Order: sequence, then C-alpha cells, then structure tokens
Amino acid sequence: MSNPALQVYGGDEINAIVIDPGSFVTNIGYSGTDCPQSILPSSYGTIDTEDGDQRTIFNEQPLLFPRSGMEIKPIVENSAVVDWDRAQEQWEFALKSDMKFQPNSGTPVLLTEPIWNSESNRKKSLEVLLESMEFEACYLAANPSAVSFAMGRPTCLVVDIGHDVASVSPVIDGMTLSKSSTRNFVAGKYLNHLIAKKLKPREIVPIFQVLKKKPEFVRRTLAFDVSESIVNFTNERQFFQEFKETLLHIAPKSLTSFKDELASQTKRSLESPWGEDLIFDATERHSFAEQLFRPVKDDVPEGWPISADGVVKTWHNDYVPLKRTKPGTNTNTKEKEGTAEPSPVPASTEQETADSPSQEPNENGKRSMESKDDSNNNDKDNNETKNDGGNANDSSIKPETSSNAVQVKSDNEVAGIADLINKTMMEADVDLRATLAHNVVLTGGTSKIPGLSDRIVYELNKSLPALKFRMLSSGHLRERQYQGWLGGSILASLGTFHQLWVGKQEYEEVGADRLLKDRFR
Amino acid sequence: MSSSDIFDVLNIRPKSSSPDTGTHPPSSGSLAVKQNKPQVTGIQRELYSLLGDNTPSVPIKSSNKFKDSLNSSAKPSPWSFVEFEANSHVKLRHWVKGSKELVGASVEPSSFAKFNQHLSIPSFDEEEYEQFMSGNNSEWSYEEVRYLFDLCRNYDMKWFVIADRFDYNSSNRKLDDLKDMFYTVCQRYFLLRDPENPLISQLNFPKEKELERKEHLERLLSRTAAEIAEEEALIIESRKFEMAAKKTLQEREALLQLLDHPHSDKPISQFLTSQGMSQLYANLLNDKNRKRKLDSSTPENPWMKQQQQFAQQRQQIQHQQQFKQGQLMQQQQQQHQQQLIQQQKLQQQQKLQQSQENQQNKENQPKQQKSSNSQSEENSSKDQQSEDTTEIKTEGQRLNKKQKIELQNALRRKQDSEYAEQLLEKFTPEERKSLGVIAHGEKLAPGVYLRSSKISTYKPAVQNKIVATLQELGLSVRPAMPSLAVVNEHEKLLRKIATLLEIKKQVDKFAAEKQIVNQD
Repeated sequence: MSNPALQVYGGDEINAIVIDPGSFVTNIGYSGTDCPQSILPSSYGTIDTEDGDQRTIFNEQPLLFPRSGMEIKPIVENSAVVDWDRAQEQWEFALKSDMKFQPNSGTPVLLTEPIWNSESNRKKSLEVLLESMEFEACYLAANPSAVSFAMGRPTCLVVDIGHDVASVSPVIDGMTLSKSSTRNFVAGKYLNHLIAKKLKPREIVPIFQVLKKKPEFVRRTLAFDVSESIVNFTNERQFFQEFKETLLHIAPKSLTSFKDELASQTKRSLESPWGEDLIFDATERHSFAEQLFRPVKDDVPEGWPISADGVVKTWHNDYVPLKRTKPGTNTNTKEKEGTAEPSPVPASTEQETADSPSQEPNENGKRSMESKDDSNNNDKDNNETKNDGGNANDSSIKPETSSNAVQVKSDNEVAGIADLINKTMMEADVDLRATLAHNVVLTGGTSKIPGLSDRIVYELNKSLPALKFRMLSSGHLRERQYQGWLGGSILASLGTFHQLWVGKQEYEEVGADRLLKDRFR
Repeated sequence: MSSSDIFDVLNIRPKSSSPDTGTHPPSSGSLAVKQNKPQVTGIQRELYSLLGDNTPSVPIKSSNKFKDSLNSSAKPSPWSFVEFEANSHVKLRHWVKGSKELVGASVEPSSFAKFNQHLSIPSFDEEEYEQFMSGNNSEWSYEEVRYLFDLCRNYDMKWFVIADRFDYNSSNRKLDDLKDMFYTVCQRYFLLRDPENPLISQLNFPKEKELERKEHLERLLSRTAAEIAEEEALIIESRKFEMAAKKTLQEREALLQLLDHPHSDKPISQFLTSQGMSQLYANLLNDKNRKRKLDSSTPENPWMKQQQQFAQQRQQIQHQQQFKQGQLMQQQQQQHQQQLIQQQKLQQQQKLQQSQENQQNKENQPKQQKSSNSQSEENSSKDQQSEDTTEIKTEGQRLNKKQKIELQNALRRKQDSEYAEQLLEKFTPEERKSLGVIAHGEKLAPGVYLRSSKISTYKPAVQNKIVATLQELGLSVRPAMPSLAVVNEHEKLLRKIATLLEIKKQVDKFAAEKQIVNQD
C-alpha cells in the first residue's frame, strides 16, 4: 500500500460481502477482490436422509452426483430470487463453509438485483439481509449499474445476455434507466433448448447414466429413480455447456446471406457423453446462435415466456403502460404507410419517436415470426439495396416506409437482441443516443459466443446507420460471467459509497417501503 | 612447486590474478589478495596452486540463488480495524493506520463524508405554492410538483434519471415537460422570495426551442445509410469545388497581375527615375518567378512566348549574316597576332585565340553600354551571341555534362537578357546612360557590392607585373573614380597589359632559345 499508484483511488476497505445471484450461478465474495470466492449454481438439491430428515446441498459437485430421492430445484429464475428460504441458506452456506466467514454483524452486504425485480422481492431481500442474516448494513444495486462500474463506464448501454434472460439497459452516471430497458428470454437456456431439439430423437444421456461408451454405448441403470431435475441439471452444466462453448458461432451477417461462405468451412464434431460423435457443418453450427438475433417462433416451446416488444416491468415504473399494448397489426402498418408516404422525411421520423411507443416495434425492424423468416429477410435486404439506389433521385421516400411494407406484421413475434438494443436506443432521450451507442457494454455468459459483437454492430449499423457503435467487453471471457459481482465489489470498496449503506437501525425506523423508494437508486 | 610458489620465493607479485581473486580490483594490495584466498591445506593446496595463472574461460560468479529473506528491522506499523461512522445511520469498521488505543478511541465520521454534497433545491409548502403559482393555469397539482422536486433533490438534477424515475399516477410526462415545470416553479418561487436577484432570468427554460433542437437532432440521427453516403459524397464534391475555386482564383489573380503591368501606350514618366525603374524590373522578375512555380499546365505568358519566337527568327537571320563577318574578324585577329609573334607554335596560337575570344565575350556587355549608336550596338551584341551559339554547336560533342549545363545556363541567361533588352527598347542610349540602366547577360553575384571591388585580378605573378607596369605608367592600381565607364576602360587596360606581358615573356623565351642555338 506504500506505492500510491497501486492504491485504489478513493478506496476505503470495509470488508463488505458482495452477493450476485444470477440465473446460472450465484457469486459471493469479499468486496475489493477481483473475483468471487464462492461460485455456486443457483439451484439446490434435497436429499432424504435415513432419519427421515431432508438435507440440502448447494455445491456443484455433489449436485452433479445423483442419489436416491434427490431433487434439484432452482433458487433463482430470470435473475430474480424465487426461493428466499433456500437463497438465505445458500448464502449462509457460502459464507460459512466456502469463505469461513462469520459472524455477519458489523459487516455490510451488497446485493445485486435485476431491474425487473418485484417490489415484494426487494422487500424480502432487505428482510433477509438485515433481519435474518443480521448484516450490519446492506445495499441493493441494479445489475447494469454494477456492470457499468466493472467496465469503468458511468454512462453506457449494458447488453447482458445471460442464461435465462437477455436484457438491454442504459446506464446514466451509474444509474440504470428502467423505462427504456428491454429484455427477452432468448438467452443461454433457449440455446440449450434449440440444441436439444436439433439432437432429437436422441436422448441426451448424462454421464452418470453411461456405463460404457465403447465398443457400443451401454446405459448404466441405477438402483433408484433418478429425478428428471438432476438429469436436466447435469446436462445443462456439462453437455450443453460444452456444446455451446465448442461449437456455437455467430455469422457476421444474416445467416441466409452468409450461407455460401460457410459452405466451404470444415465440419466440427463433439463427442457426446454416450460416445457418439456429433458432427455439425458450419451452417448448422451458426444456426443455433442465429436465433439470438432472429428467434424462430416455431422453435419456441410451449409456455416459454415471450417478450414481444422487450418491455420490462421494473420497480421504478411498476405499471403497465397503456399505450404499450401488443405490437401493431396489419391495419396499424397500413396506417403508417399511408401517412408516411406523402409526408416528407422529417415528418415521418418525428412521428416515429413522438408517437406512442406501440408503433415503434413496427418501425424498428421487428421481424415477423413466420417460418419464411429467411425469405422475408432477403426481401428486406433487397428492398434496402434498391432503396439505396433510388434514394438519390427521390429523397422524399424513406426506406422505413419500404421496410414497413415488407414486414408482414403478426401478433406472434419475438424480439432478437439487436431489436432490443434498437428499441432501447430509440426509447432513450435523443441527447443520450450518441453516447450510449459509443459505449455498448457486452456482458453475460452467452455473450462469449464468438462473433456476437461483430454481428451486433452489423445489425445496429443497418438499423441505426447514423449512430456510431462501439462495443466494449471484457477480454477476460470468464469475467463476463461475474461482471455484475465485480462491479459490486468495486462499488462496495469505494470510500464515497459509505454514504449509501442502509443500516439495520434505519431499516427499523423508516421501514422497507420508504427505504426502497428513497435510498436505492 | 608451482608457478605461484616461485613467484612467492622471488617475492614477485603475480600479474594475473587467480580465479578467486579475479573479482577484486587490481588496485587492492597483496595483503587483500592474501586475505581473500580461501584457506586450503594439504594436497588440496597443491592441487589448487597447480591451477596457477589459469583463468577459467567462462567467468563464474557465485551468486545467491534465492532472494534474501525479509529481514526488516523496522517495527511493523500497526493497522487497526476500527469502527467509524459511514453515514448518519450506519457504523461500520474499516482499516486505519495506528494502534487500536490511539485510533479506536472515538468513532470518527467517514473521511469521504465531505464529498456527499447535494444541490440546494427550493422547498415550499402548499400555501406558498398556491401563492406564487396563482394565475398559472397549469395542469400540475401541488402533489405532483412536490414529487418532482423530491426527485430532483434525490437525483441531483440528473434529468435523464429523473425523467426515467418519474411515475406519478401513470402520467405520461416527457423530460422536457418536467424541466419546463421545474424551472417555471423555481422562477416564480424566487420572484416571490427575492425579486431583485439578477439570476432569475436565467431560470427560463425555452421548451419550444429545446423541442425543436431535439427534433433536429432526431432527424440527424435518423438518416438512412443511403442518405449518409450521399451526404459524404456531397461533402467530397463540395471539397473538390472549393479546391477548384481556389485554383481559379489564383489563376485569375495571376492574370490580373499580368494585366496590371505598364502598358506600352501609356506615358513612362513614372519609370524615368531609377527607383521607379528598379521597382518595375523587380516586379517583372518576381512575376516571372512566380509563373515558373505554378504547374506547367497553366499557360505561360503569351507575350513572352512571342518575344522568344521573334528573337529566334531574328537570330537565325542574323546568324547567316554574321557568320562571314565573324570569320573575317577571326582572320584579322590572326593576322595581327602573326605580325606580333611570327614563330609561335600552332597549339599556343590556338590557346591564345580561345582565351581572347573568352575575353571578348566578357567585353560584350560593357561594349553595349559604351557604344553611342543603339542600332549598331544591338547588332554587334547579336553577332557575338550568334557566334557563341555556333561555338556551342561545334564544341558540343566534346563538352562534358557539367559544361553542358553551364552552357545551357548561359544560354538561358542570354535569353533573359534579351527579354530585358526588349523591355528597355523604349529608352534611348542617352537615357540609359543617364539612368545607369544596364542589361547584363551574365548572372550577377547576389548582394550589393562596390564596382571597384569587382575589378578583375590575375595570377599573383602576373598581377605584380601589372601593378609594376601601372606604376611605371604613373597610374594608380585602382581608378580614383570607379564609374562604370572608367572601370570598363580600366579593365580593358589591364587586359591589354596582361596580353603584352605574356607576349613579352614569349619573346624573351624565344630569344633565349635562339641565343643557345646560335652558341651551339
């Protein structure tokens, strides 16, 4: 600490605990360190012991090992904690067993939360942290804010593609804007589903059910019934994870237009747990993650949460906006065409932003979800190129009009990640757009798929050509899986952050409702 | 016995050091060397001394492989984990330098608390609000305004965040509405409180203008790729136009300057003074230089081109006329010389001839000024020029590159002088003489100099003889009044003396030879 250059600027270490529950893993560690000390799956397993009691396990290794009467359940879903009792148990387990840390009194704790965290969830988290776990003080930091701190960019657009949810949120001076944030449910879990669908009719056998791979696959039969949740859990952590890490790739432009270049690439194979070599050519490999950009409605399973326009219900605006109903129908589009055609350029653009946001999804390049998605895209591309040529002669016709014409609107559409960014950009204040576009932070485990960054830039340059996009992402790939935690770690070790801690005493005096409104920004 | 032992017996200090002492500087005495020698006994010693003067081919430096163990004598400074007041509600613990007794005695407030500054935003109750907002038919209720002001206080006027957090009865207020309301209320509040404050006028929020600005910005940001490309192309085009315009302007300027020159039909009175004349000449020359610097595509001065054409034609005609004359002159000169020295060898004769020709070239310019008749004078100068050109043609083959370049330069200079001559045509010889205007063919040395300092000198031996001759004749070495005419005459005189001295030398030589032959 004698070297001033090595000292943290404005840092004042108070040994805070940082908890970052994510949909895939929960990161827990000390503030001021550069990686979490405890990384646990956001799930728990229950085992019936011989005495008739139930034992709960949180560590990843024992969770991957099936036992009789074992069941695995999630603690966190869509980045929000769903099982508070278990969450508390898990955090206590991490602190006591992994970090050997206790007692909690006298220690502040920082918890990251998604911006769509429900009011009750936030109240509960305060209760758990301050009352049940007896921390001295606590703070709830929005995940995008934490990411912005981790990247050192107070103003940025955080694109977080995680396991359950992909979200886009603008961060201004370290505060996350909630109204213009968007999210969808096309992320890592959806890719797992796509892979499983592609491999059908094969059954994905986890490694513990494999007795012999060669010369031919022999399945191990266990003496007890293995719960489906364990099979899913194991596959998710082992086979799908490996599959995504080794085979997935994203084409630099729309897959349909890139197919020819991919044809010459060599095939790749992956040895499955059951010994079969799964061979995929380049087009197949690229087609999985392509759905991050253009989700195909037919592939979305029954009951999968669909975010049509990416609207996020947040704690800040906990009401359903009246105008943000389902995206427009055909009549809507026609109306739009009718007005846009004769009006000059500025008028149509004004309309686009000043009008109700309900029309925006139409404007901003949302694609229809028909199976003829590809041809539709082709059409659009053609039309755009045509328009490029013709624009010099007749500048009064905007390309938007033409792209509108191509888009056949329907109720069932799913927004891709580029659409989310587009929508967020258009919803954000005009003065902010240039800054946000220049600071797009890419984070989350699924963002590690190679080619994602280039593709996002390509899509955005196409839809918002006037803005200059710059992607920022941590070169340390593993770090993207705990960047929210890292930001929290930085935040909690800042001297100026002391003012924001909410103490137990204040919680008792003021009450959760008031605290949540005033103290957590 | 080894070499070192012998050295020892003879009390000679070995010159080259043995391996163990190699690291020591030679200045250290024998005592030091002895001390540093490892103590070896018995056969080992014998073996060791056998090494003698053999130094290892690779220097071996014994170094400790490991870092020194941390051996800090300083007492560790105590750090203690003491409680402090993080904010008004929370007491936390952090690490502070100092012992627990010293530091932990009292709970100190956080040293970062001073950075927790907030803006002072006016606060008021409903009565006050009604009072200063009376007459303002705003749709805002007091509660909503209050909510807005609370947000502003909470978020330190970060309008983007305020607009994002603003959620009052699901109203759909935009950022600019909030700003407008905030500033209106503030203005009215201060008008009531402190009407004299000069800063009140600054609390205006021009909402319409702001909206307009945003509209423009939006339009700018919603340009399509084609529009942007078109715009860029247009910018490039406009740059091109700008460049072209600049170029034409330049050209036009040059042309105007050309037209600015004195017209031949106008009176020349302003150029009659030497100052006016030199100015005119400088202008013309400057202009010519500038023209050269411009790219070759721009047309040259057409007038000058014509002049050159005329000059060439005239040269050709005159060349034919003067060829015979030149031959005649040469013959005359030869005859004259033959009369003076009959026994001269052919080679020497040619040499002399050439040198004389050169001298004549030099004389060329002075002659011009001297001659009274301009016409005949001009002709004669032309003669000599044409003569020169013929010489170049005949000698061209044996001239080396350097000489060729020199000749070309000379030619160009001649052309220049001709051009100058053309410009001076209007002046009569008398006028020229009175004004001191000279058109010179050779390149002048740069800078100002006295004419008398440029009187030609000869080889030291010749120079001495010339000086002696001048003294014999009762003339000073430098002319008393070095006017142009006097200096020219003086030069001529010097040349003649030099020639005569040379001839005398030759004559003496031959006479001596003849005597020797006769004696034999």
